Amino acid sequence: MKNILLIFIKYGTHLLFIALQIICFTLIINRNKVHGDIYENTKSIFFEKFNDNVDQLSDYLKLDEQNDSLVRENAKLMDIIINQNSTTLIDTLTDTLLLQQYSFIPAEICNKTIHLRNNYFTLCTGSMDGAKPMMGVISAEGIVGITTRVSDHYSIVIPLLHSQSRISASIRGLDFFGNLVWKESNPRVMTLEAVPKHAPISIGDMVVTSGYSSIFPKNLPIGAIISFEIAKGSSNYVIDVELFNDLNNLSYAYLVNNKLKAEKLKLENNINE
Amino acid sequence: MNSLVTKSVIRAVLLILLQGLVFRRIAFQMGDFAFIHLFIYPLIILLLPIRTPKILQIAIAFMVGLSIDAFYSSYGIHASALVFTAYIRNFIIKLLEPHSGYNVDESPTLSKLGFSWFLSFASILFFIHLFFYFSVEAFSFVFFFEILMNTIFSFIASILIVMLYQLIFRSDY
Repeated sequence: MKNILLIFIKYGTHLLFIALQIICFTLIINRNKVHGDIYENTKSIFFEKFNDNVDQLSDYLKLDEQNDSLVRENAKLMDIIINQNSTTLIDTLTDTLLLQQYSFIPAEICNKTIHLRNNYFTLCTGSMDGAKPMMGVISAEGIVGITTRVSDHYSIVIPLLHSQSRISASIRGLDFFGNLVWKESNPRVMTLEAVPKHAPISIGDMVVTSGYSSIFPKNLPIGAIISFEIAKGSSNYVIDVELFNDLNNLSYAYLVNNKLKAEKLKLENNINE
Repeated sequence: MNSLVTKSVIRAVLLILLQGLVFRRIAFQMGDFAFIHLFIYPLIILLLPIRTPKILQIAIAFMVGLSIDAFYSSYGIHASALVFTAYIRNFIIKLLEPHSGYNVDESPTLSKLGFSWFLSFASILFFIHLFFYFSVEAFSFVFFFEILMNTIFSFIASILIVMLYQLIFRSDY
């Protein structure tokens, strides 16, 4: 209390000055028409700007949420599109519960390397969300890689950009297929090997997944042929493929869950026994 | 001491009436050129005895300003300007303090402190007062040209009247 009094004695003049000016300006704004109008006008201009900025900011802050919902919706739509194709493949199955061969799990990429020889991606989606090892990972524009290790909340992906990655790919419209490997250090270009040299390919042809590996659905676009040659003494093409998706600039992906994979592998393994 | 208060009160009433009844009606207008307004009421604050408590000076300025506003049928414009002038006055008095110091019981008039001291004292405060007043009156620096013209011409006219007033009433009023 004593301090407050001391402050008032010390700064009383300034406080009174400020108080009287506030009273004066309140009077000016409220009782003089012209001044009131100018004040209202200025205030509205200022507050409109301010409100606009706040709107923009809140829109920006909501982007994450919107992204999540869009990703979920995308996964749903992809379920519908891809499974439309696969129903014709398995038309012998009449049980409608089994008609949906592929389902998709949305996943966020939370860590990745791009410029090493052996790169790895980390997804913030683990076995709690349904991720398993050896699942395909795709994005909206193309394929990303295959999961290897899965923990409760995270999974590691061997992306296309890994010296050991091998994806079974074919050329759209033709039934020739080969292995897609990464030989160069350019993260946009991969090499398609083991396509026989009598295949009538041309530059610009689209390379798609073959669907033989049961990891990826059939006919997912991967990239386009930018050049090809026949190695000396070989009967196969070496084809350079430019990827459709830029793995460097990717933050969301989908895990491909092939519900019939176990059945297929079991049948195929019986051959060797 | 008592006579100082009486003098101040008489001066205040006189100047408020003079401003409100006479100088308010005097307007020099030549076509578009209507920038001359006469203001002498800031003199009430300027001539308060130097040792008047600062809080009291500001309070007096507020009340004088409101009564001038009543004559001008504006609300708070003169009061705001005059409160500002009273607030600034203490700094200006400190700034212009002569070597011999002030006789703090007296008003800082022309007869006490000399022509040149009073001219600079009144000029600084009148200019600040007029600039503040016209800024608040226009209420927007969009009208900066008008504010400046009003300030300069009203300042010249008002300071002439104030110096005349001080030369005529040499005995403290």
